[in-house]
Amino acid sequence: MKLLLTILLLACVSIQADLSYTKDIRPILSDKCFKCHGFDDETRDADLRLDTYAGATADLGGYQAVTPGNIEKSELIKRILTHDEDDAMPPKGDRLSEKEVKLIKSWIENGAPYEKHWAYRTIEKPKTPEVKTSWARSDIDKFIANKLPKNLQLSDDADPAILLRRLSLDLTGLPPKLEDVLAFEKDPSEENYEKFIDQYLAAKSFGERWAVFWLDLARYADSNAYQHDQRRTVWPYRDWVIKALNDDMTFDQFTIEQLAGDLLPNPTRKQLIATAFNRVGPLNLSGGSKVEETRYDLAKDRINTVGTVYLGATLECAQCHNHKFDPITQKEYYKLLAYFRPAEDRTYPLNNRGALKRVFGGELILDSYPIDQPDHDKFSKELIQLGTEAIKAKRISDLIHQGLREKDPKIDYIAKAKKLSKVTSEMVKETYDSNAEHRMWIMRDVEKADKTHVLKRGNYLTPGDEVEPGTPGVLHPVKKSAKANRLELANWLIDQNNPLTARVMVNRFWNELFGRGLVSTTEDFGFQGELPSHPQLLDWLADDFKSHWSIKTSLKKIVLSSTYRQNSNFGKASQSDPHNIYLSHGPRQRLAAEFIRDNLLAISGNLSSKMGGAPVYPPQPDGLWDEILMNYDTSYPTSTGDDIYRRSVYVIWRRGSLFPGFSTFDAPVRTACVSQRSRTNTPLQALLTLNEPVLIEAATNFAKRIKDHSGTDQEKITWAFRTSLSRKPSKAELQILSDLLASKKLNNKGKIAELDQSLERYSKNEFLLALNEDELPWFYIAHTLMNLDEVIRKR
Amino acid sequence: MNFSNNLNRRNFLKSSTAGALGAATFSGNSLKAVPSGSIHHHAAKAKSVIFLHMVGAPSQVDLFDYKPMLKKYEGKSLPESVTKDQKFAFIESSATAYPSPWKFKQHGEAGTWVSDLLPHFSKIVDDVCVMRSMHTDEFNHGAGELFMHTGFGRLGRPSFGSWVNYALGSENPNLPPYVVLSSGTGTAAGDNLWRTGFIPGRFQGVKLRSGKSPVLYLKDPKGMSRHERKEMINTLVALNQLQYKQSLDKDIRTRNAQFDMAYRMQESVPEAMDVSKESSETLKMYGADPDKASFARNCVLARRLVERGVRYVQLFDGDWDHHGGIEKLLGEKCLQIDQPMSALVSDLKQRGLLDETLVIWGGEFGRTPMAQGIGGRDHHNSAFSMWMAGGGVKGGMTYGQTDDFGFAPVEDGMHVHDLHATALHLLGVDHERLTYRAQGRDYRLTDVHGKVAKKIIS
Repeated sequence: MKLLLTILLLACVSIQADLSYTKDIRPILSDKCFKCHGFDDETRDADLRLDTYAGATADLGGYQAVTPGNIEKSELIKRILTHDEDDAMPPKGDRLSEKEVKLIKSWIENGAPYEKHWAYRTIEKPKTPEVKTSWARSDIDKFIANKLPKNLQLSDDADPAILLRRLSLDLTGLPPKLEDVLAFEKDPSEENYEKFIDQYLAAKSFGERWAVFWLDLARYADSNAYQHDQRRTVWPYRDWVIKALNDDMTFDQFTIEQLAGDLLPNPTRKQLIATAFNRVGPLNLSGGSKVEETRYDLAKDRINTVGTVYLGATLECAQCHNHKFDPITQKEYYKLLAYFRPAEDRTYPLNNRGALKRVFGGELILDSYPIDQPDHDKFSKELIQLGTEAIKAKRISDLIHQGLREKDPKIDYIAKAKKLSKVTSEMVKETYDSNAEHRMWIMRDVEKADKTHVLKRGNYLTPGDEVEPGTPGVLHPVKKSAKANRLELANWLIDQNNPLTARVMVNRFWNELFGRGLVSTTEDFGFQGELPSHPQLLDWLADDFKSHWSIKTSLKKIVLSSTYRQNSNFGKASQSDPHNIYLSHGPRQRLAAEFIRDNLLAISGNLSSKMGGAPVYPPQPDGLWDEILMNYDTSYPTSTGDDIYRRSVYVIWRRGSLFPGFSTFDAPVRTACVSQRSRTNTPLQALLTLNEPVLIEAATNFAKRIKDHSGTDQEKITWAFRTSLSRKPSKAELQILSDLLASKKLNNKGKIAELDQSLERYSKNEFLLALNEDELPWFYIAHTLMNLDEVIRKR
Repeated sequence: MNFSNNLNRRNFLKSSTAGALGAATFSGNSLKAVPSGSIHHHAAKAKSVIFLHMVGAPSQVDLFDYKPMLKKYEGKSLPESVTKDQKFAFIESSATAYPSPWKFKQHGEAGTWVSDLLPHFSKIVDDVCVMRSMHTDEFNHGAGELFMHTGFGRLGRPSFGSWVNYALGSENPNLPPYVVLSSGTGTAAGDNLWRTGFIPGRFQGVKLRSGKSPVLYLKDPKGMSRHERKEMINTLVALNQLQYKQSLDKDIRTRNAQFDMAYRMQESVPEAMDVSKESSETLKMYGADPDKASFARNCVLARRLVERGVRYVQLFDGDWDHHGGIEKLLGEKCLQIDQPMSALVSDLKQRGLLDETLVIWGGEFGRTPMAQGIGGRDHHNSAFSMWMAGGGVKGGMTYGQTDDFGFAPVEDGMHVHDLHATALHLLGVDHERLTYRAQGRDYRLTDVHGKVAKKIIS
């Protein structure tokens, strides 16, 4: 014990040399003091705040909590040391440890310097450190090498085949073509690597891959969520995102068009479509929701999204009270929200029960809608007629049955039926109109906006002070424009002085490529978030990004680095750095749900390359939509033909019942901005890749291709293996697969048949109808390869 | 283990056969506990939970909360002092009192008030604690359901079941520890009610479907034998193992284990879900048809699952949203659930499982003591009734009182946070200490609220 204490004390002494407020002091104050003596003036005790220098050193009537350079005259020290119950601080919970007291003392002795929170400081380009290693190719690598702990070693480049697969998956979400792999193996030069980077960045599939990243942030979905979870038409926005990414639209423009494209002078149709960013969030149309409540909920959803996407801030805490941890007041929250208050979101109840509501807002008639206007009117009329009849028939027949059963003379069933038919025809008309496939929602402001109020406890029924649009005081000032509108907000977000947007975004790029951000809490750059592992590298990347705002340029810089190109074996890091914080080896993560599916379809040769358009509906088990939703719009319109094999970004995203291939692999429902997906590892995932019919079909297709490939069985296996994983199989791997093939060939001759007789419910030879006896053994090779851990993993 | 040669692969094949056969023949009590979570703060009374959620909100006014005063106010508005500041979904606060059209009687030794709608339930009241002072923050279905299951009226928080799963882990390696079953039309909030929010996804509920494949993609492709499936998985595992040896990536081992589990679930899930194995007396007791999806069948399944060590079974039963036609529709719904829910309690008791199984029954909120139109009741969140049985809850008890109109609690108010706190307490978990760090703060199921209702604990 004594020894331990000595070590601790020694540790303290060594820390004191470069004591940091952010790293050493703030966590203690935050933990023990800020709850009552922090930023929030509503919960502040004794008029003392310790989160600022001015507050801590303020005169409290002859004494100060902190007297810089003087421990004796610092009341804080007395209070944290005293045993007097009335004076002791903190009054409840654990006292400060001996080590913590030491740290606070030496901080006060050093003048009690405060620092601005790292993420709120202006971004300045840091000097790249000098490192003596030939391993480093770029500035990025020098920052990494400079911070590497002594017990870890940086890794060499991955094998060309593995590296090219990693690059292709990262930039396009698809595996590389085998001929490209072979070419890169032949010539793994710097120039050739860069050539492939440029090729993948220029591919159309780049936008399809990175749209998934952005659509998570934008909480994109093809339905409303909540009761009924109505489908809606917003896919042109999804296609806009894909195109903008492929065109490498600069991030400032990308931001302005999505947040405020409608407020630009003479906005184009595309710019109007981009504004659906503000309208793709969840929408509660259930019976009891009130118009004003819905409008505030929508505004909150919009500003919360902006907060997470751009500021790395969990603003929602400030809905109900001043933020406990981050310096954003409740009033400032509602000032931000006020930018969204003019949005046109009127609703009105449709029938006396209010069961269906129409939401008004900006709408756009889509060019691509195949039915022209006159026909469309006829179509819609017919549809309304049909729908009305169907609902009427159902309701009226219910009524007749009820009447016949009850024979209650007090009830006029006929009158009821008549009334019903009127209500339902209105209902169908409005339902049709609001769900019409040919319209999409866009953002539009009303001329004269309602006032914005601070909502007490976040409740729209208890409005408090009125506020005007504005931005939080802790950040850079907003450049006031003629009208304080969303365009002003958008310009503030991409202002060169904004310390957050660029940092938050490059950290997301890093997170996508390495599976962990330099700030691991990609959604929280506030006081409660993690500190950056490589703050200088983060600032270097952020400074670079905001100088060009080109996503492709930033990605290219990262994938060119030695850091990115390292092989991904854990080595020593499996023990000492299991999360690879110090990046001593290359990235290694399971693919996101969409890319697992895309990858398997691509390997099998089934993937369709068709881009864009209305959502597709690949087959899913019957009845999933019936089971989840309140009997509304439950029929799943399964796609046919090539649409079954389209890239996953085009698959219907219905919040109430996600496509099982997605939900099983942790795709989020996207009810709010998603900054990071979880990566679970469950038996249901295993069952999916083992038995999902479209994947089984893909495997049969793959089997035929393998069988038809030229060469010996060994050569066929090798070709299949390389098509799946790019790299060459090892001897052991070839042997295992050859054994399986041999066994399946025997199996086919019926030797295994008797073993199976006890398992009747799996009747034999019904599946794989498309395969003949010679092809069947290859199915097992294809099927096994498509289930390998490595095939769903980037490594 | 070394999978690089044939011999060892065969050994693996053998061991997973044993697993599969074992899973197919086990009986509930012979199972050895294999807890994976094991966060216990104190001795647990309950081991598992069965939550019967009546989706749409059943009318407590017509089932449990007997209010003769409503008769006196029939056709008149409730006193303003009672209804002021209350939000309603559809009606105005001036809506008139609507006394229950059903008769109430006291039942059991404890004299628990129950209406005529629940004759079977009336016979088990001495095993049950009826809580009449429930209240919640939300009065719309989606938000109310979310509040009941995640302690929060918006999306994104972990469900009660996933917290329990996270804390206590699994008792049966062959079955998912958190299972969801549904009858009638679905819920408003969909699978958000059993998802995990920021807690790792492996703790989420697994929705078993009522039809022939209770788990999605459980069945191998037609024509593939079990032997072939096993051989394929063994090859796969061997190849994955080679990758593990090279990379030392532990995820690969987990994935291998999951393939093994998947293989075992292919046998164990159909077995656990095969209601036809129940005796005809048992099926009769529940009123369940083994071939027909129903709440009754789900109650039988719930018992089979907890018997096999499943930690948390969530049942949803739809169509309780009676804005109109309540005199007919509520009667129909009660006919569907009264017998099976009562049989579930009795069956658990006779098998000695009730002590360790907490059964919870209720809706996401209640219904107004005032009428909506003629013969309807609106959503009501300031007072409603739920009941619990087993798992350390006192039987023959009525907890909490509402005012003369049943409008709001006046004694022992029990918020949904209190319900969660109490249920966790019975499971041996302190709701204030069960936390998960996300987005920069420690989250709890009960947020910063929740009191354990000590009076109802035996």
